[in-house]
Amino acid sequence: MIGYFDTELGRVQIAPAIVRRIIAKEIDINRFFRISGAKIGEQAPKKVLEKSIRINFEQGTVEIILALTVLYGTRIIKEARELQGTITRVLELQAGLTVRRILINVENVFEQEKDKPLLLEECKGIPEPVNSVTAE
Amino acid sequence: MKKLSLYLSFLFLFGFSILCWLIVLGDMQDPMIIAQSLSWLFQGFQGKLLIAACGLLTLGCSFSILLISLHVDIEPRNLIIQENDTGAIGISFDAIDQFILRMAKDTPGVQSVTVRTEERDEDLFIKIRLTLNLDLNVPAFTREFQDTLYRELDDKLGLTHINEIQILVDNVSTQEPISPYAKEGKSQIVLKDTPPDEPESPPTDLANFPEPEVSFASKAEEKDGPGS
Repeated sequence: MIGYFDTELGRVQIAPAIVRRIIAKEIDINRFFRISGAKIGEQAPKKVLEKSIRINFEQGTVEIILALTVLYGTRIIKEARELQGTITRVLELQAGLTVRRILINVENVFEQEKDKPLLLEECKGIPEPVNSVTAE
Repeated sequence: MKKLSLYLSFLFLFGFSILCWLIVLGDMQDPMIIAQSLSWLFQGFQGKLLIAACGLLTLGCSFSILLISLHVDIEPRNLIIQENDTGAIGISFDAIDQFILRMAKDTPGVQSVTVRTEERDEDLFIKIRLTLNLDLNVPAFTREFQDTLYRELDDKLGLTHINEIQILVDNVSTQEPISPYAKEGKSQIVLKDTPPDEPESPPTDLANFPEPEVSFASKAEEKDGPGS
C-alpha cells in the first residue's frame, strides 16, 4: 500500500521512503532519541531505516512503528509522547497524511558523548579571538 | 543461541578442514583408517545414533546461520507497552536492564552489577546481583538502592507495576574502582594530611624572566608623589 491525500484535482501519492526520511529527520533533531542501529553523527542507511521505521498504510491513514534507543536519564514516557506529537504534526503538515497510530519501541539506552577536543583542521574555520581590552 | 550456533558451525568446519589437510599432507593410510572407522560406526546401533545426533546438530546450525544471514530474529523481543491517545510506547526489557545497569554503575560503592528483569502476571520482577565496596553498610545501602531504583523506574520509565526488586550481594570487594589516574602511574592512595594535588604547571625558570617595566604600585606612587 502507499500513502495518499486527495485534492480537488486528484490524488497525491507518497512513497514510504519519503515518510521514513521525514521521521528520521525529526528523530535526529530530537536529542533524547536515536534510531536503533544508526551510527552517531552519520545519516542512517536505507536498510537501518527500513528496519527501525516500519510504516503501514491503511485506507489513507498511516501507522508507524519505531525502534529507538533513548538517552540515559530521559523521562521516556514524557519525551516519547512529545515525539509522537511532533511526528504526527510534521507528517500532517509536510506530507498531508493522517496518522492513525505511532508505536515507539525503546530498545536500548545510550549515554551522552563527552565533549571531544577540536582537531586542527576543524579549528581552521574558527575566526581569531579579538582582544577587547587594549593596553594603553 | 546465535553465538552457540556460530561456535558449533565453526568447530564443525574447522574440524572438517583439518581432516582434509591431514588427508592431503599426511600418510596415505589415513583415509583407509577413517573409512574403516566409519564402516564400524554404520554397523553398530550406537554409531548410527551418534551420526544421527551429529546430523541433527549440523542441521540446526545450518538453519540458524541461514536465519541470521536473513536478519530474522529467532527470539521475540519482549516489550512493556503503555497505550496512549497517539499510539503506544513500548519499552524493551533490554532497555530496562541497561537503565538499571547504568544507574547502578553511577552509584558510588558498586563495583559490578548484573541485572535480570522478568514479567510474570503483568508484574515486574527485577533481580540484581551486586558486588559492593567493603566499607559500605550493606543493609542500609541496599534499602536505599531499592527505593531509589523504584522511584527512578517510576519517574523515568513510567513503570508502576514493579512487584519486587530482589538484590543479591554476591561479593564484597576491597578494590577501589579503576580511575583514569591508574593509567598514568599515579598512586590512588591519598593520606589524610596530604594536600590535594595541584594541576601540574610547565617548568618555569623564574631567574630568566624579565622584570616588569612598570608595575601598578609604582604608577600610583608617580601620580601621588612619594610623600603622600
